[in-house]
Amino acid sequence: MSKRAKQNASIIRDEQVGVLARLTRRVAIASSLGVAGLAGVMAVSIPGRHVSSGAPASGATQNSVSSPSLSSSSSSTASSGGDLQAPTQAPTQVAQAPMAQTSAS
Amino acid sequence: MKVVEPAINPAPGVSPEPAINEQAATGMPVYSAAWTALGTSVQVVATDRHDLSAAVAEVQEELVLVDVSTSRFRADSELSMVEAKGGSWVDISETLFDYIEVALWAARLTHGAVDPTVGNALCLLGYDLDFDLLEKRGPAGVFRVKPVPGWEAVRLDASGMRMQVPDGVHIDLGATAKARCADRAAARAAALTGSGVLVSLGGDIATAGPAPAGGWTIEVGEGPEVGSSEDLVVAIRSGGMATSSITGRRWARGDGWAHHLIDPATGLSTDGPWRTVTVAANRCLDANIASTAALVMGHSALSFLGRYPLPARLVAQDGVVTTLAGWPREPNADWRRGPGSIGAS
Repeated sequence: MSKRAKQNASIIRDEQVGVLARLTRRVAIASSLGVAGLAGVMAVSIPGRHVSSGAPASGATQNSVSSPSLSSSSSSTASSGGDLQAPTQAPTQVAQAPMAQTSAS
Repeated sequence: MKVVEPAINPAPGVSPEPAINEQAATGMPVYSAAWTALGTSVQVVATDRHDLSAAVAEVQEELVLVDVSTSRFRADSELSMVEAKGGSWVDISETLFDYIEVALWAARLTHGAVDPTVGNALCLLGYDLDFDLLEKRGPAGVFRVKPVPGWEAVRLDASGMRMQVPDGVHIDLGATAKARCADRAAARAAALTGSGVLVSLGGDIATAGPAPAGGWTIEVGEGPEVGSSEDLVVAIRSGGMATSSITGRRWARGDGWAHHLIDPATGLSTDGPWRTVTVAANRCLDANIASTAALVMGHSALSFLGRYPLPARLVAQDGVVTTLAGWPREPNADWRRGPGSIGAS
């Protein structure tokens, strides 16, 4: 297979995974949510091709890896600038019920 | 041009049936869904009830992507196919490129403490199946182990979007892929919905979008038994949090026990002064790299974490808790403040 064909195959693989995942999971989720959930599920468009949100840093070369970043503008995904990044605020202890748990997995 | 299309099999570890919690269970206006996938627990929390289902769908798609791209337990994963062509340059997808790039970045940052070429070592120690199956199989034998090949052996070419893995080298992305997946999924879900979203993959927690009032509240524990009255609950407003521990994912070997955190220098499970490390960072990925590296580095973890500085909680083998860089003090814990801590209460 030519290099171009391999690249196309890779792209198609991502497309298949994306569309398959969206369709199967939205049907499953819709069925579990009932009518109210169905509206929210089906409101999500299905793009023609999945584009990775973790686009590689430009200019990376063999084993010369820069800090990868996510393309989203979300506050949690800013570029790390080549090093591990501390949070904007340290955690604070609270007396509220937890929404999630972090532990040995 | 006719393109040969690779066969895509359903991800065997993904359960498409999240249990939706439509109630604001914590007293805060958030809504959550939980299920299992890829041998671990998955939880999605959204600040808007109507955006939860869309957020869940984004997370599930990202889970499928990471599984078919990076799993070492699937012979048909893209990573397995690259390894099967040992020594050759292989064109790869953007998804696999991203996960490999992250893994090599982690290795470089940690001077090899977090190394993706531990696949062979894990197999030799008996971790050659999905963990659920591993527990059912029974004790693994005893094998001679050796240092891992080293992350420098893996070559990545951004200009050609391709990679090269030496023949016989097996990659395990367990130290970075789950956290990266959580970050990617949370970012996607928040970008799509506009809501605040928390994604937890086996306790690797990523957040994106606006936080709920009071922040995202997270219980910090050591094992699946979290939920005791003594467990710490903390709040973060952004970023991520991860816990690495030798108390989970352990299995019997002929000569004792092994766990999934490998010291690349020996090829054996780590055996340092810490049993559990929790770190907060601006991303789940950064937090998980740091927590994993801390367990491997042992005593030098304190200077490593303090360099950034990352808020962290380290539990020693004797249960004493050391905190760094503003991690809140726990009144009920046997506690000491780590050297160089900033603002520890």
